[in-house]
Amino acid sequence: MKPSRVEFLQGTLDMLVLRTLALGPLHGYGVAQAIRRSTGEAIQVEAGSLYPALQRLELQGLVTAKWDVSERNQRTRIYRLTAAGRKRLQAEVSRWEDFVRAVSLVLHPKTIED
Amino acid sequence: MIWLRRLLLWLPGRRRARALELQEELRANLSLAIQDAAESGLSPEEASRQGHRDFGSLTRAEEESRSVWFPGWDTLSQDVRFALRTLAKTPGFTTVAILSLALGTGAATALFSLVDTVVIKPLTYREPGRLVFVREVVPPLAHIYPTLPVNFQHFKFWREQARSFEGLAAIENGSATMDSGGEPEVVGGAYVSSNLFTLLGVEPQIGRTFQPDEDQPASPDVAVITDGLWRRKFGGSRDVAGQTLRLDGKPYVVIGVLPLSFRFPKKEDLGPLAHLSERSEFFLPLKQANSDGWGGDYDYIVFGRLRRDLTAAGGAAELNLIEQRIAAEHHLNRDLHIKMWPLQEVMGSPVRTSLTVLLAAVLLLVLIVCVNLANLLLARSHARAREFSLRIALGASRGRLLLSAMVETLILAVAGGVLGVLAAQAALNAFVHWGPVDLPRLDEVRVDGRVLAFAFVVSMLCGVLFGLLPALRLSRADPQNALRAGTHTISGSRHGLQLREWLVGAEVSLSTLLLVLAGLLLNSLWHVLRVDRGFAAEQALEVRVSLPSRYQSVEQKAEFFDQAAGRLRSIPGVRAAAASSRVPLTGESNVNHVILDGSDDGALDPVTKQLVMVNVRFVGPEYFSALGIPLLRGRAIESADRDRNVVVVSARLTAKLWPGQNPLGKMITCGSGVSRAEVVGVVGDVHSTQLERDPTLMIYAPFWKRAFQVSGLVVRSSAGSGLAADVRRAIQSIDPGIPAPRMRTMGDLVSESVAGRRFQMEVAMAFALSALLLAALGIYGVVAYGITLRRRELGIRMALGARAASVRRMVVRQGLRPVAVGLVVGMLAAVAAGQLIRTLLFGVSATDQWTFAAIASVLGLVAVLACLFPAHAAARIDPAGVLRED
Repeated sequence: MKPSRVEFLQGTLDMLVLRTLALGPLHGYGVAQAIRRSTGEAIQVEAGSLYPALQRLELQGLVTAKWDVSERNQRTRIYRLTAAGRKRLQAEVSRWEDFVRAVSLVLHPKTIED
Repeated sequence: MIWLRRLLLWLPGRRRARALELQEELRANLSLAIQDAAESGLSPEEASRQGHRDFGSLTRAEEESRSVWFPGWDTLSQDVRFALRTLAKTPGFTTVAILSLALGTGAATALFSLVDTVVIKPLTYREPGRLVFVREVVPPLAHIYPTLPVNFQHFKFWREQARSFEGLAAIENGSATMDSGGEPEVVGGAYVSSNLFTLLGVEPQIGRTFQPDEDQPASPDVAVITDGLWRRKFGGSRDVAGQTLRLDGKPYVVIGVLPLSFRFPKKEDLGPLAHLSERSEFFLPLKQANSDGWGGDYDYIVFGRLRRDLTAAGGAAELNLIEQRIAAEHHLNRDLHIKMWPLQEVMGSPVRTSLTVLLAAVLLLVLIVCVNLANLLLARSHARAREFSLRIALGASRGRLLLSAMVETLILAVAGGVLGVLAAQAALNAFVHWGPVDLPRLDEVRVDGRVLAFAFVVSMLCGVLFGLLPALRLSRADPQNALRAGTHTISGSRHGLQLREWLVGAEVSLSTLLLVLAGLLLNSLWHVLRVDRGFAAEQALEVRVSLPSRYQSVEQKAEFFDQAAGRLRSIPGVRAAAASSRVPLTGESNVNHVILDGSDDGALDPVTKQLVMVNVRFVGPEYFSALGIPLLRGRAIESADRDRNVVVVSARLTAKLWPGQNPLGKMITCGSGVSRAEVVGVVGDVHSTQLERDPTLMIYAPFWKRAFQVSGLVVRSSAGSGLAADVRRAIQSIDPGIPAPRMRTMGDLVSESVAGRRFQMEVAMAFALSALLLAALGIYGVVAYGITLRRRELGIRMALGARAASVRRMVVRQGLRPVAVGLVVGMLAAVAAGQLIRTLLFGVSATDQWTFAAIASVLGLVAVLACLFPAHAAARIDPAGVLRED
């Protein structure tokens, strides 16, 4: 059975990638797998979105990439979070949490009132 | 930061390397995905399929990544591809657009590089702003020569007294026969003060220039030569210093070679009576003047370098004070003063007016090109309005549409610009080849970086100018238009038609302006050529001979020219041959005032009360018949006049000196070698300087006592092309050591004398005809387009009974409306502009009614023709077909 896919907002993917890389250096496929696993297959990241996002983050200096050998002896580019990336991640996460809290207030006024 | 990284991706090779790296990375990660799938126990094919599916589209990943690196790149390249396709679909429009742009930018670019080289580019001298050029003003002569070159004694006195100058240097013409082996050759050169090169700030490329004392009479004979002479005569050898140069048989030690960039002013730059060779190739120290008088002999070209802390006005004021002292101390009894110009202004000034006229013509042409293209695009934009409305309806932003409309015009602009630069290069080559010879620094003209930058700016400006208007209109297209059915509903609004009419009117008025100006110049040339020259140019040949320095005495030289004339007469076909110091149209020389019996002062003009100035020519027997100058009274110079003091004068001179009297037998004295001679004949007046100027007053004296080293012979002959070889053989049969004579037919001299004017006219004509062509295209385009818009209306009119003839008439009438307005406006502008080129006109007024009338009819005729073609098409509309189209 095919897992349902979640459409998400522009910019969210960047945050997810940064969060994933915060746990340790990874190659592109690893990032996609990690996101897929941690969302319980809810979010599958297509190459068409993932790699442009990685390019964008690299250009912004939030991640760096280096050719290296992966755990399966496959030479590929390994991405690593930079200090700027870590800072950006914190900002994004707190922005996201503000957003979620605000949306929840609208959706479930009572639950939050407690 | 991100912009910097993006910018770095544009570095050569980086883009490609980045794309390849991404491909490799994608492939590596895909194989990881396939391995994952394989490990879950799938067959290799299924694993590959599953891996691909999980991974996602490689192509999309690459495309999207590219747009991260180069935002907007994909849309732009899409727009470019789309524009190229649309342009290719309308080859007629594209060709006309590119060609007219090439015409505009080409003309503008060629002219810019001319103006840039001739007028704008600084001299190659050190701090040229402080260099000045000085001439003297001698009031009694000022009515003929407002200024004169400088008297040598005055120059020396200035140099002793003046404090405003770091230095002053004098220059005197000095051509010589160079006979260091091989065929003897006449080379142009100059005698110069020893400080000239230091003053100009010119460093030699080899050796040295003159030392301060090298213009002392006792110092050895040394020479500085130009790069050109060095390469020609010494083969560019580095150890040229110390070698000898034989000039007129005298050895000179070469001490230095000037750099390739060295430029010496030309005679034309330095005002009347300044004598310099066409090209000065060697320089000798000016050791002594050929006259030590304080009055007369205004022969020397003087340059000065102002002291750093002084203005030109200060320098001029000081020299004027010194001039007053000279006048007082030497009893010159004249209000002597000087005139001073910045040297930069002098070199290139004579051509400034004509270049300005050219520049104006080019600007007008570029404007017409822009207007024309705007018009074409506007017509096209109506045809494309549906497409744009549709795109707006589908959600394209107006900015995006504006951009894609501009992309098209920019492509046209770039193509036109490139073609224009090529055309400019060709035009410049042609110009250097065929253009008038008197343009200074013409040989330096080339297409360089500045010129390319100029061409780029012009073509981009054109592109933006003519593209923006239609693009703006397009991007404002009403999306509802597209949603209504039927092409005919998308017609030009009333407003659009009026705008196009305005543009046609503007085009016509600009073309009218150019045509009228060109017409006035053409008319002037015609008048100049119809002037009664006073001599018969047909079948007359000027032979100029430079005698080697062996010929020292006047007798030797006279003997040679006598012999030469005799041998030339014996050539079959030759009807007359005579020695002559100078022929008509080769400038003035031996200019002086005349003294009549009973007075010590110069004779005055009875009307203007100013000194009568004459040109003296030294001629042999048969001179007048050789040139076809009519003998009016008395007799011509004869062989028997060898030892007689006789002269022949021109008709105008007798009218001034002896009005109403018989001039024969009168006695006349003139400073330039005529001492109390009897007038024995009167001949017709001859245009000696330019055809445009009044004939000069002439005295013809026998040449035997004043034979020159370099002199001429005139030959009248009915012989054909072999004559030149015969003449050369005849001359060298007397003395083989004589350099080959230079020969020009008098017909050549006549065309040479009008070459500048003819060229001016031809250029103006070329511009005007291009403008006319563009205007015709513009009229045609607008009328033809108007008819496609009005097909339905016209069809209905015809269905209701309108005749073909009346439809034709209506179309022509409406097409001519903006033409008539443009014509009137253009004529008014031409009346104003005519005043600006008044100095270039001859024999016609700036408001010459015939020129105006002729231009009006030509333009009217062309406009009618341009309207008739679409009018015929309109008359052939099939009303039934039109009505069925709905």
